Amino acid sequence: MKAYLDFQPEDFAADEFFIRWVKSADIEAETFWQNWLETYPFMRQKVEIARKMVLLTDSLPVPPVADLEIAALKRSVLKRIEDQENGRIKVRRLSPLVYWAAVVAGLALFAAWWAQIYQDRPDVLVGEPMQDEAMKVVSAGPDKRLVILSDGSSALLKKNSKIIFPASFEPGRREVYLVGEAFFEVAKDSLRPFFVRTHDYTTRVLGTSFNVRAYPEDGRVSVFVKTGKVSVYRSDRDSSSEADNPLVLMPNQQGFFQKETSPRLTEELPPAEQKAVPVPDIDRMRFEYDEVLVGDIFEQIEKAYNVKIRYDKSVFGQCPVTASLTGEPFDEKLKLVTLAVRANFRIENDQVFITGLGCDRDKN
Amino acid sequence: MDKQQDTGNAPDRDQLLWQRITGDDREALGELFEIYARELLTYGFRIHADLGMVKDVLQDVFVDIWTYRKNLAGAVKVKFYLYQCLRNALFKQLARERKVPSEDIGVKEIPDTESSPEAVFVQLEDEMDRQDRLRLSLEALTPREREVISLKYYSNLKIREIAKLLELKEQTIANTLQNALSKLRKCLVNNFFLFFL
Repeated sequence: MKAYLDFQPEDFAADEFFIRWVKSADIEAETFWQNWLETYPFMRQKVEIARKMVLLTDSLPVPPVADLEIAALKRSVLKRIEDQENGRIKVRRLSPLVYWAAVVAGLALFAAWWAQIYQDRPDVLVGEPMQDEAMKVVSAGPDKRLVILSDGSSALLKKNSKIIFPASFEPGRREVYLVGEAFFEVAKDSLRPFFVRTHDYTTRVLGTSFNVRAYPEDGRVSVFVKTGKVSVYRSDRDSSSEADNPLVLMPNQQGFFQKETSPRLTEELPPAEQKAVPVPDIDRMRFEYDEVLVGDIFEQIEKAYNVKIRYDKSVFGQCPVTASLTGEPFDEKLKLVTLAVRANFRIENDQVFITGLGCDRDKN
Repeated sequence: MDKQQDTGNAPDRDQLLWQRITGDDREALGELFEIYARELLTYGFRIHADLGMVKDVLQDVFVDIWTYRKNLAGAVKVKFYLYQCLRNALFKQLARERKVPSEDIGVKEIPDTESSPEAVFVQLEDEMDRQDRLRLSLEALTPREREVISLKYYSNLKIREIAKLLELKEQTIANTLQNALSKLRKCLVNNFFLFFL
């Protein structure tokens, strides 16, 4: 699928598949674009502008020629051919050489005319900031990428994925749009449900950790719950009585959602019985610590979230921590760990800086 | 607008007609004319405005196709080829009339103004039965931008084909299109009433 989410109205208006939607009653295009707009309603304004731009191109002048006249022109062409073949009229044609000379001359004239036009051309207009400034887009390439949302929730974007979210959430709801796959750890806030919108399906939670996989090429959405519980429903049922019939997923359950078929559930073995995986994915990772050295905890967090944690090993390396961090957002994990070792942290891009005097200080 | 809307099998249909034409089937030429006359006239009219001349040149193109059918390539993108022929013939005719301005008076309408396509366009716009508000935005376009817009949205040609037709780089066409679209968008934003199309 094209990167339609990055499109400006001009890009839509120049896109052949988009034009097909606007100008013809093509079922495939209609289905795609309606569905796409349902999934990404914040793109509606751009799409609407683009649609009008395409329609506007129709108002270039049309010659006043009736169908009858076209039929007459056709007869006249055929008549000329007939006369010509009967030898009644000598073909008045220039020799090919002259013909091409004329064409070249014509083109030269035309080129000269264009060169002039080109010079007079007004400066390229700078696109108005139609973009909703309040929306942020973050994409991950081949590597995982951590995104911290304004409510403290974290989303770990998996490869080739993209998340769109408001710079700050609305009062009553937290809503993000996902293309691809991400592991979410949602900060608890019972007053503001958290929605992950993907093509066709929406996942709704209050505070929990779960993974959503919705790569367009998969043709399905899969949701795996690590902690808490989530409900998943068709996005187009959104307005009707709060998603009338959601499927509720419990921890270690994975749901597969396909548009045409009914959802399917699979149960996973409890983590204790799972085979040890060398580098487990964050969805399955436990963050349970009993007197574990903080350096080891940092190492696990670094690997899990693909971030770099900068800290002074001689100061913090030997501090033991006991904590249960599974399902906590990235932010919260760091908060709890640093609290335990009496440190502060700040996040800059993909790096976390830990500062403090160390945990042994008071004991000595 | 749907008259020239491409269907998936239009190229096959054209190819078949083309083979029949090169095989001396005059009916096929008539069919091809019926299919493309209107959109070619519209294209010619938009880049040249002198509808009488466009009609004449269009007929010449089809007569020529018949006359030289034995020398024509068998595998040709028919629609694109027709556009190319019409465009070349129009500019050829234009060059000829510039050289001999008095020729053919009475047969063809010669615009009063100097017939640079731009000037003709302005003149044309005075004559048109107009949808004023809409045209406001299209007037902001340069002749080339109009041509590219018409070829892309009305004629459904691909950027690659437009570039080949105008003998310009694809990038140049893409830029022209972007500029034109930016202008249209600006008009949409500035003229709020356009939102009630």
